[in-house]
Formats: sequence, C-alpha cells, structure tokens
Amino acid sequence: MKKLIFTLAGLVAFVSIIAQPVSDNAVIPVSVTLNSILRLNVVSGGNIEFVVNTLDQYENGIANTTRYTTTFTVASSIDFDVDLYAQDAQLIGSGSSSNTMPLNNIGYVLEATGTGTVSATGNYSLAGGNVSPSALQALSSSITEIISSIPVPAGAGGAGDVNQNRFEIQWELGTQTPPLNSTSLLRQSLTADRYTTNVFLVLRPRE
Amino acid sequence: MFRKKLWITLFYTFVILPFALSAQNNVTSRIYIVRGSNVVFNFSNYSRYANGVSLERFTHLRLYFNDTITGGIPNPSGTGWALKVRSVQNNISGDMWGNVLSLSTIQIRAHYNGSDFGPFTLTNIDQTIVTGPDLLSFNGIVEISYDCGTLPTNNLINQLPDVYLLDLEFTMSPQ
Repeated sequence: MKKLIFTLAGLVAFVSIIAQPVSDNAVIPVSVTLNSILRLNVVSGGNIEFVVNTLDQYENGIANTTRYTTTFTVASSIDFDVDLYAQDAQLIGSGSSSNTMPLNNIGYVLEATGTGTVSATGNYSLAGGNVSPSALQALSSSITEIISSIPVPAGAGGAGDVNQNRFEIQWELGTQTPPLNSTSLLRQSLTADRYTTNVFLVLRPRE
Repeated sequence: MFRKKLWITLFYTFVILPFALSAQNNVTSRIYIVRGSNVVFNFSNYSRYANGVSLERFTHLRLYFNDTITGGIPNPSGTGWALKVRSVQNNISGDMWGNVLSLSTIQIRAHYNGSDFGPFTLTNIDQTIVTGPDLLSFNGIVEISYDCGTLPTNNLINQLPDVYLLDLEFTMSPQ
C-alpha cells in the first residue's frame, strides 16, 4: 500500500513539473498628456482707425472695407467660444477724456472665412445666428459671445486648426443701420477728437 | 520493518526523484526592457491632436526562450514562444475628475527579425503580437512602436486636458 502511495506521489510530482510552463512579464508605464490648446491669433486688422473727414462720412458713416476688417484665427483642441467686448462704456477722446462717443456708433458683422461651417449642424454659430455673415451687431462693453461652437452630435464641433477656424470682424462706423445708433455722427454734434477704446477678443473652452 | 522503510525512502529520494527531475521539460522565458521603459505621449500642439503621436521602435525588449527536455535537446512537442501584450487597467484614466480615454486610443506595432507585426489595438486581454518557432536558447530583440490618437476614429480632439496613465504588460511565454 505504501509503495503504491509513494509511486503515485512520484508520478504526480513528475507530471506536475512537466506540465508547468514558464513565462515572464515586463510592465511599461504609459502616460498621455493632453495639454489644452486654445490659441487665438489676430492675423490682420489689429488696429482699426476710422477717419471721418467729409460731411458725407459724418452724415452716412463709413461702411466696411478690407481696411476696416479684423481677421483672426483659432486653433483649439476642444470646442470653444469667443467673446467680444469693449474696454470702456464709451469711446473716449484722446484730446480730452471728457469727450466721449457712444459705442453703438460702431458696428460689426462676423464672417467665417475658413473651412468651418456656420449652421445648426455645422461647426459654430455667429453672434447667436446660424448664418455667415452674421447680422450686424452694435459694439458694447458687455461681454458678447460672438462665436459659439456647436458640439457633436448636434453639430460638427468647433475644435480644429487655423484653416478651419478663420474669422473676420467687419467693422463699420456711423451707418445708422439698426441696431447701430440711429442718429448720424453729424447730428450727434461730437467734438472733433480722436476717440479710442480697446476691444477684447476672449477665447475660452466651450461651456 | 524500519530498514524496509529506510530503503524505500532512499530509493525514492535518490532514484525516482532525480529521474523525474532529469526527465522534465525545461521551459525558460525571460523578458528584459533594454530601452523605452517609460512611454510618454505629449500632445502639446494642435497638429498632434489632429494627426496623433507615434513613437517608432521606442521600446526594445530582449527576449530569451528555451524549451528543452532530457539531455538539453529541443522539446519535440514545443511550438516556440509568443510575446503578448495587454493593458493592466480597463481604460486610460486621468489624474483629475475621473477623465478616461478608451484603450483603443493606443495601438501597438512590433518589429522583429526584419518583419512588422500589427498594428494591434490595445485591450485589457492578452494579445499575441509576435511569435517565433525557436526552442533552443533563443535570444532576440523585439522593437515596439506605439501610436496614440492616429486614427480618425480615435483622435483626441475634444478630450479633456489631463495626464492619463496606464500600464502595459508584456508577457513572454510558450505558444
């Protein structure tokens, strides 16, 4: 009986040693660092200056031309929005700070000029609308969302490179087209001066 | 009676057991990381988001394999070695706010003996990426390449910025 037990024990040990495969492991840590890419670049038109020097311009304003156009691009790894606002509540005279001009004499139209599309199912809306160029907007010191990405799945999302996300802000002055100031520059009896303000463009992740 | 027990014990200790050991199938698998032991994908500009990041032949693994039987001869029933890979975790988890990326974000390719293998989309289940028929004292280098976010279906646009981590486990074993 004991012989049988010893024999079986030896056999089991033998078989178990034969059947045991040997493997070895190596572990490699992998990290993926996603840095936020949110870049806005004013390509041209970083300094817009309207010079009103004829009565016609005082009466009818100055319409947009390429000279009064700001072009900017956005490169973003995530959907984004762009806000626009003026630094001051009014344009302030350089000669005298008591000389002011209402901001709503200045208006702008937004146009997407890159490969991105503006529609309900496209990449973004402009100034709350789904058409490009947008409706005319009056400049304001209130923060105004001028570009709104339409995230997937409703839209195609705004995240993209500068070829996709290229925009123009087409400025105009004193044209009295609604919603701009309906009174001409002439009728406002503005003191001759150089009126200025800063306009901020703020790129931020889509909320 | 005592002498009989003693003889039986001595017999199994010095005859049966050494025989069992000498007749065993010796399989030895070893894997060493020669270089590329820490893989980092850094998405620092938009182009990388759009096109993904590839690390070509970044990790070099030295593999040893031996499958012999009694007398040190190649195991006639052996089929060679296999190199497998899997993710230890079920997803690529971020440091913050529970952000996760799918394992399918990462693909792995292997280069061995002049041939390319893959790409293999990463999962948490072992996938064989390279095999070899060698049985006797195999000693070779397998080069591993990594792709992250290179396919339109797995690019990282609109993924939340974070540092995402996972562990890759390579296993060298008999086929």
